[in-house]
Amino acid sequence: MSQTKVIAKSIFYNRIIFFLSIIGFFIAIYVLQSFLRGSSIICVNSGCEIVRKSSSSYPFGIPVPAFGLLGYAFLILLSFVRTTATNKNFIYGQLGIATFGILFLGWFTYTEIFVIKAICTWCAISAVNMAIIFVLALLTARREIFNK
Amino acid sequence: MKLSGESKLFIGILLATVAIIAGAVFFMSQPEKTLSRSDLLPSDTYTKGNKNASSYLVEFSDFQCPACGTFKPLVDGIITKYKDKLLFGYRHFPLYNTHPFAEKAALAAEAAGRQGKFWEMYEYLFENQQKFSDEVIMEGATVLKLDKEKFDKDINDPKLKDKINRDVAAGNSLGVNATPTFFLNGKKLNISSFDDLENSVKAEINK
Repeated sequence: MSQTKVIAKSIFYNRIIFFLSIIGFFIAIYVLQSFLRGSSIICVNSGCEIVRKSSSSYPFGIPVPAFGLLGYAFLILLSFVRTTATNKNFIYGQLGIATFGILFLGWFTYTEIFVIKAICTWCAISAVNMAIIFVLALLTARREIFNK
Repeated sequence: MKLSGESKLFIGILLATVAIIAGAVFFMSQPEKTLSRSDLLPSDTYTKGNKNASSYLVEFSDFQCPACGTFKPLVDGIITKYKDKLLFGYRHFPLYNTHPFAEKAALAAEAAGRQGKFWEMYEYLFENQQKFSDEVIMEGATVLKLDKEKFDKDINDPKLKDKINRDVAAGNSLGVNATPTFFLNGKKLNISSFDDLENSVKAEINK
């Protein structure tokens, strides 16, 4: 593939990552404010409430959506920085956060299913969202770094 | 610093998203309207307390829901404490998917209600919530000395099922998405601790 095409693809992927990170960021804000205020979460079933009230949703005493908020905030920042700088470390950074993101969400989805025994719709949406970001970050890293 | 076209696009996306979300939050956070008493307390709802009281508390509940069982002593305490100033109504919101005996329990309570023992069955069901089975629920009729034949007939009466379904439909349209959900004087309560419920009732009664 020509260098121009690689760059075009990478720009396109970065736009999607940016947009999805914004979506994830706002989902995290919404869920986090419910966690902190103890108010009910609008959900398609009763799963969100069960998950919110479970102690498993507070690893190290920190509400789970706080991790999401931080992760998505970094992803937004990094994808924005990539529009002005070409340093490949930013791509590594995105990939690193997205990797942590899917590992974290993988662990949390497991906890939801097997420990809490309820599924929170917003977490599931966030998990899919993060998985897409991870794939895009991986493709970008592969294309840019290995020029494939 | 001069921004690239791509950076400007990103800022545009960000601003547009923030604007859309801010608009959505603004429209969704309009003050909740107060629901009418007749919507929340249809005439055939089982109630406790003072029927003429100006304050009324309605609970959407599920006999198999552990949280409802935990709230029960608290609700009982509130009903006793404010019996002259409050009317309490129990409405069904069985969570069919997660609680296999919730509907049967609701039917049992309604069938007992036809023999004037709804609240006795309410006590029995919450007491035995942990060991629910068809037998345990049906056994309630014997324990409460109900006319067993009538109870068996009533529990299968489609009219009772209709009443429960109507409660569920009402709950869904009123924004009930978990049990227990409480409405105090037409307003949905957001409860985060046990104290919240009594404090809300107290504040409303002392208004």
